[in-house]
Amino acid sequence: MSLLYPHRSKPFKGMAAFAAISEDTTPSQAAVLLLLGKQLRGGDAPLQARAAAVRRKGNVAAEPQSDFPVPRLRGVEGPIPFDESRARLTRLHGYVPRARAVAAADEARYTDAYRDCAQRLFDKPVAANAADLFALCLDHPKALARIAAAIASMPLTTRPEENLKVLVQGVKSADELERELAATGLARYAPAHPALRPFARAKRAPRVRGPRETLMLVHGTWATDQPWYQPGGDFHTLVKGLRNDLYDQPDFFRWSGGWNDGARDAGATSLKQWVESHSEQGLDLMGHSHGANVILKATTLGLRIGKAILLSCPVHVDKYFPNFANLSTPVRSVRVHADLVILADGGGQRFRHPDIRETVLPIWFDHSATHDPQVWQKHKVAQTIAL
Amino acid sequence: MKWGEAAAVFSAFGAWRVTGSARAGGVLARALASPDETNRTAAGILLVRGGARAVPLLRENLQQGVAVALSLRVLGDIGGPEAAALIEPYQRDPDPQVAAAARALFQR
Repeated sequence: MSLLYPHRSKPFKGMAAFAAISEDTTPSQAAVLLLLGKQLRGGDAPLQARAAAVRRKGNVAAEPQSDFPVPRLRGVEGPIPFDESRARLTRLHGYVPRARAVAAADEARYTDAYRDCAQRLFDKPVAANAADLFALCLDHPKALARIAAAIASMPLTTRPEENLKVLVQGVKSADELERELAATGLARYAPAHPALRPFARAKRAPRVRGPRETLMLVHGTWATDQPWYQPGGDFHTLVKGLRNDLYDQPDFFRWSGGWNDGARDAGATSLKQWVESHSEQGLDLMGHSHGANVILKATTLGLRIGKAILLSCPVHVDKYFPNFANLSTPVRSVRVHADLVILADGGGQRFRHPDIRETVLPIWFDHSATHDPQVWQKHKVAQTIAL
Repeated sequence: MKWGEAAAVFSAFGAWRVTGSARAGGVLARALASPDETNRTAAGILLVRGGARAVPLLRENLQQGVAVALSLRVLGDIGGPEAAALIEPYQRDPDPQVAAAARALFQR
């Protein structure tokens, strides 16, 4: 329960929320900011799409807009330079930024600028006006509004690192509402941030007792030289702690990493040859990105493997689909929501097959999150996929 | 993950694809140097999807020493004589990672 912000049975709606700055009005201001941020992230569509993907679209309902109306933003096309917002705040509202939160003596001047800036947004709900309000909110005297603005403005800001600073500061707040809002925002945008450790209850995944069969990691597009999958790399080290049969010799498998079908086909052929030359038939394989498709392709070329674990795999079922006769089922697929690299790639975000079990982490956009050791620990990925 | 950069990459691709803006293309090409894997890979894929139009942007990266190894790999995926001519000299680059990347593209 919040010590600073009392419960209210009715929020301040619309511009009424911005008429003054107080413990009473600030939660309503924060809600407006967060709802604007939700619009910037696509509104309810992603949630509905996720529900539809599991055939539960009808089980998700949005709150009626009339309960807490928020301007519907137009002209959202990409980031808006922070410095331009600052310049408009000075030109239109006479606001001169102070260091961090405004001093008490400046509060009256800030309140006037804040109210006028909010009015400008309600009168003309365009992205630039929202960006200006977000920029102004980062100097808000109440941490709750600063935190809400930092979360909401992530899709618009050109200075995300400044927003993260606000959130990191927020997780240290003595107030539970401020602390939890900041932690939620930080978990969304920087899930591996050390400031979140006190909030994480997840323990390190238990070690597998004794060696089973060999497990090997397969890198993805243009990642041949990346250290994470190589012996000594952070993800390799994590997985080695879970499966001590993880292959760790210097001649581990590599492929060209080219972003084209030919490179992946050559990679699959090369993987089959590698396995046969090492007498490792039946090994488990874990591949990231198109490295996962190299594994799937190899099974269609006759490679017999054990488990197949796909991390952030772009779905191209016409070209890359497992030969289920050559592997043990279910295939495990781990991914995040709306993976940006898969979006760029043009592939599908998920498989839909009874023998492919999808695990969608509560993380958005980040293609590399599925080989991030901290993500694995926090979300107990090893246990989920029965590694 | 660098969220502002991710948004910049995708909006730059939109602008570059529609208008051919060199400035937007430059944003995309320079993102190959991003320390963020998601943004770097997305930018590379979007450049490959742009095909031969991306070659001048990648040539500029090479001339300025920006993300040389990845720029070569992206050029390799775009393919064609112009890309090959750009890649070829880097097989003898003093940076072993760059030279290996260039040689690997000719060995495919």
